[in-house]
Amino acid sequence: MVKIKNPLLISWILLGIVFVGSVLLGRYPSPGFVSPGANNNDPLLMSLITNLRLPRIISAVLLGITLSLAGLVMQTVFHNPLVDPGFLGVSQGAAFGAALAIIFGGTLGLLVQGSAILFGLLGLGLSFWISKKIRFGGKILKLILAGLAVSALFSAGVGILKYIADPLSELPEIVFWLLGGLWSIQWKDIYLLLPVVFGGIVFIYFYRWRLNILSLGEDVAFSLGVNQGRETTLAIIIAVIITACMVSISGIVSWIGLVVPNVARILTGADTAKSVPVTIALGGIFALLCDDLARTLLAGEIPLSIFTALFGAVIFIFIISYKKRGLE
Amino acid sequence: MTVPENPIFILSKVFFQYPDTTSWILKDYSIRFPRSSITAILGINGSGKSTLLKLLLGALKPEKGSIIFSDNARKKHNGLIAFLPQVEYLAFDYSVEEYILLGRVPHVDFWGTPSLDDLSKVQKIINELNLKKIRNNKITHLSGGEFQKVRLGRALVQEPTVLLLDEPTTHLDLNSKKNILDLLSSLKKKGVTVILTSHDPTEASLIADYFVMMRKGNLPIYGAPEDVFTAINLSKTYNMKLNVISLHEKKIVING
Repeated sequence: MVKIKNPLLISWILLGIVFVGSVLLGRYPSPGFVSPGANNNDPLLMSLITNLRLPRIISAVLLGITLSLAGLVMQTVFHNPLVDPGFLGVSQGAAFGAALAIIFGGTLGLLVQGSAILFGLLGLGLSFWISKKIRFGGKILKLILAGLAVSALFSAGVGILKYIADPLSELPEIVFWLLGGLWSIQWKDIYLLLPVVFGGIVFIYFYRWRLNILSLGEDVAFSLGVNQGRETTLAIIIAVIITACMVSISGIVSWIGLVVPNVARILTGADTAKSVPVTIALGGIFALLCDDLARTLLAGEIPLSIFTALFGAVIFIFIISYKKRGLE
Repeated sequence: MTVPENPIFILSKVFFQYPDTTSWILKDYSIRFPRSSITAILGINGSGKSTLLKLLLGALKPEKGSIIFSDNARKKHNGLIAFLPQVEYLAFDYSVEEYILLGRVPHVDFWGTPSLDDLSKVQKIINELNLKKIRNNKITHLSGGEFQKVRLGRALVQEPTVLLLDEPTTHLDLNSKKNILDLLSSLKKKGVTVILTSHDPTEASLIADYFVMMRKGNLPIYGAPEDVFTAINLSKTYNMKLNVISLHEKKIVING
């Protein structure tokens, strides 16, 4: 464990600082930060901040929180710190749904988002259904195997769709969606998703201590009066629904859900009562910083996953080498 | 044969087999488990010792027959039976304190976190079990004996009336074994019912007030030590010639 006094307080203060900094950061009037006082004199800047930057910043924070929390929940219930929130066929299912809508749906408003959510949940449902058909192994192993198979099926489907997509109009859109990004966010997207996503986050927050029990053995949980099977299923469904909702507007954003909970655990220890609040703050910070780079580094938009994967992988390498040192 | 009065578990004609298997693990078991005492379950590998524990726990349901758990003290059954599986794999590296605290789950609201009262109960157990020095250590850095004690701590902070232990002393050195056995004896004096499985009849006879000897597919042998802890019964249980000799009022089981 890295010795940082009160990681909870520090991570939340940091989130506040990054949030304010992000509001002031942009490419208008010139690339960089604007001073807080300048807003009043420039109506265009004001409208830019309230109509474009704020919804985008809020959605980046929500995306980071959602993916990291869902990752923490999945890692806990699958007894495996290397699990990612989308691995039960959810990410690939959502990707397939989005690609399908891009090719066959035309330009109908929320069709891509809706289709992504639908197929993400279908991926989860399929994984559960197939896991019940497997005749060997424990509950966890069955779900992991089924999730692998379903992900492979959908990713083959995505491959087919990319192959038949119009290389000039549809293919770039699919590729951009697969790399994720928040460039198209508007307030109405946030209003639409907030009740579900916020509800899921609040649920996990208040459930945070009991979540520990899902990482123990089934019989031990039983002796503690916990129906582990039922609560595990509930936790997975909540984690997946909020993930699918956020992914439907952001596209596939990789690594956040894997890396952030591991960093939080290094700071707070394994107890989920302590790691959940820090995971929330760190997830928000990580996604927001990556999105700041994605929107300001170049004149054009850079896909979000390029940064989340780059920094995520660097942090991941640090974690695994750090853990090795810890064992010596 | 002495029949325990006011038993804590009553098994009546219990049959059990695992799905996709054809032979009964438990066949027509009718046993009464004595309250506030230590029962040792003996038997060869695969005779169904762990299965019997999980049936008592309620995590497995008998195919036929009934198991009645009667607790006089409290009406709410939640968390009254604590269980220590033979091996416990932890995916995340809890500290000793955090891990023991998890035993308070039956006493904490669904949406809640542990109260100060819960934390002070954990401290009490830590003091009682002499774990003060290692309270902030990580579980993976503990010795086998320490981990076993910590697991017992988790079970005790649950405030159970029954403690089900699957081979609690296996893989422990002599000193750690003695520590655990002494602890179990002291728990019995406080009124806790201890039911454990063991591969070592000599060791089990040091603390057990009651024996259940399981023989796969056959009826079990059960009763107080003076009635059932004999060379004949042990030889039947382990399918080999065994002898019981007495030394300083202790019974020692030997080959041949």
